[in-house]
Parts: sequence; C-alpha cells; structure tokens
Amino acid sequence: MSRGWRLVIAATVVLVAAAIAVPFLTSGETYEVVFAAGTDDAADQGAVFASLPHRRAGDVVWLELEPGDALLVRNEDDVVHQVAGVAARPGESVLHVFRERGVFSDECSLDLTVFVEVGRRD
Amino acid sequence: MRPRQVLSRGPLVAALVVAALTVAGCSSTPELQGVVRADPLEVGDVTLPDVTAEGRRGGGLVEDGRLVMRAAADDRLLLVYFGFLNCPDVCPTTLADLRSALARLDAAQRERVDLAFVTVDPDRDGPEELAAYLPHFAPRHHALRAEGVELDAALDAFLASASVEVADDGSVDVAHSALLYAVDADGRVVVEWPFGTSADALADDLTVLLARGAAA
Repeated sequence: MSRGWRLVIAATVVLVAAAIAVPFLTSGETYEVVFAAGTDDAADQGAVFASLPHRRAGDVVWLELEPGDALLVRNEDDVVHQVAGVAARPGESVLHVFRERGVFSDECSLDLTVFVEVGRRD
Repeated sequence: MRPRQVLSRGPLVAALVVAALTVAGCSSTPELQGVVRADPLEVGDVTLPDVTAEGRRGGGLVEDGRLVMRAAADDRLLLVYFGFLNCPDVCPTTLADLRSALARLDAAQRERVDLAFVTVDPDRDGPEELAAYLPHFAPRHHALRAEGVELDAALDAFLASASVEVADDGSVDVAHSALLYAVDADGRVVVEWPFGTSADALADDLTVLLARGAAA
C-alpha cells in the first residue's frame, strides 16, 4: 500500500472519529435508567434511579437535567418500559438528548409519574 | 538530479472528498429535539377507521374508510396523537402547541402536514364530538375511532398505552401516554415528541423533517 493511501486511510479514521465524537463532546451528562430483567414482574424493586439527580415525592419523581444532558433508557426486561416519554422495547436502548429547557413528563411504566425538568439546577 | 518525491493525485483527491463529505455530513444534519430511535417504530401496516366529518378530512392516505399510518407522499408528514376529548390538560395543551407550531410554518409547509387524532375513549368520543373539537386545533385532520383489540393493536405499534375505567358512580378515569409522533411515507416513526415539547421545538423539527422529505 502506498504512503499516500495510508495517509488517506488515517485521515478518514480521524475525520470519522471526530464526526462521531463531537456531538458527544459538546453535550452534557448522560444518565442511564436500566430496567433489569424481571423488573415488570417484581415492580416493587423499581428501576435504577440511584445514579440520576432526582427528587421523589410519593409517586412523583423529578429528574433534574441541564440542556444537553441525555437520558439513556436501557430495557433488559421483556416488556416495554418508558421514562418521561422515552420508551424502549425489550432489549432496546434509547438515548435522548434534552436540548431545550422545559418540563417533560409522562407516566412511567412502573406507575410513577416522572418529570424531567431541564435547566433548573443551580 | 535528485528525483522529488511526490504523492500521486489520486489519494489527495480522495482525502479531500472524504474531508468534504465528513464536514458536509456534520453541518447539514440538524439535530431534532424529539426522540429519535436508532431502530424506528414501523407502523405502516396499522389502519384505523376514519370518521372525519365531511369537508374536514386532511391529506392522509385513506383506503376503504380507514387511515393508513403512513404519510401520503415523501414530502409529507403524518402526525399521530392518542388522546380523548374530555382530557382537561395534556391533550389540549399538546394540540394547542401543535397549532402554534403549524402557525410558525409557511402555508406550503403547513399543507404537507396531516394530523391523525386517535381517540382512546371511543365510547364518549363519537364522530360528532370529534368534528366539533378537532377543527379548533387543525382545520383539516383525520379523526380516528376504534375499539377493543383494534385500538390496542394501534397503541402497541406506537408503544403507547391507554386505559378507561368507569367507577361505580359513573365517573370516568382515562389514562394515556402523551406523545406526539411523526410518521414518514414508509410508515416509520421518525420522531417522538414527549409531552412538554415546546411549540418552537415542534416547529423547528417539522421544518427539518419536511426539508428532508422534500429532498428524498
């Protein structure tokens, strides 16, 4: 392989990597919600919210994000689960970046009402 | 004379093409603000009875009195919403935001967007009630009304949910998921907007999607 083509390949790798990386570098934190296998059957165990900035009052959960933060819903269960309108099929992971300030909500699949509040943190 | 080492032009041209395409790819793909999944929902096989009042029907695909869950052409969008007319907050808020978003588009763009409203409370939301309600939000639309397994199948296709419970005192409690969906001509859900998405964000996303469709 000529030196020229090696340069082309190297440049391609760098440019493609940059194209993939830039959106992630310029966004904020990514928070992951995992619905483990069996979550629906053992709903009392609930989803994993421990790693998210959140408040809970009764059956209402507030996730507090900043514009550019992302919510990754990973569903390892055998039924559809959703958090604040981000639904994932069994075996599916869905990443959503909240780009605008506001409050986004829907009933969670575990009978919780989840509000994602974007842009409130001090 | 010592020969000068030069690169052939082929690799150089290829490198420039790769760079140009990469830069173009980065700059010409505006980010949508709704939820975009890597593996889009496929809803093109879903059809529901269209009970739209005479003269109000939008430009969606209607076959044998049933709306097909696909945009009618590449440069059009079908927006789908599951709701009910007695909803006190979520449904009218979402539809009002959609109305504001559509008002931000120009007339030619607006004409390429069709709204399908699927009632999740078909016992109370008859054709007459739907005809009185929907024009306030979209002058031309598709009012869809189905029951039982047919409605359930449509909800499942969109990963949506709804339930209607009638208490002993006759009061009715309706729960439903609150997303607005955009469907392309291939029957793919290209974006899902959670409740709370602003009219500005909706308008921005619709503008992007319509431009993509027109370019397809």
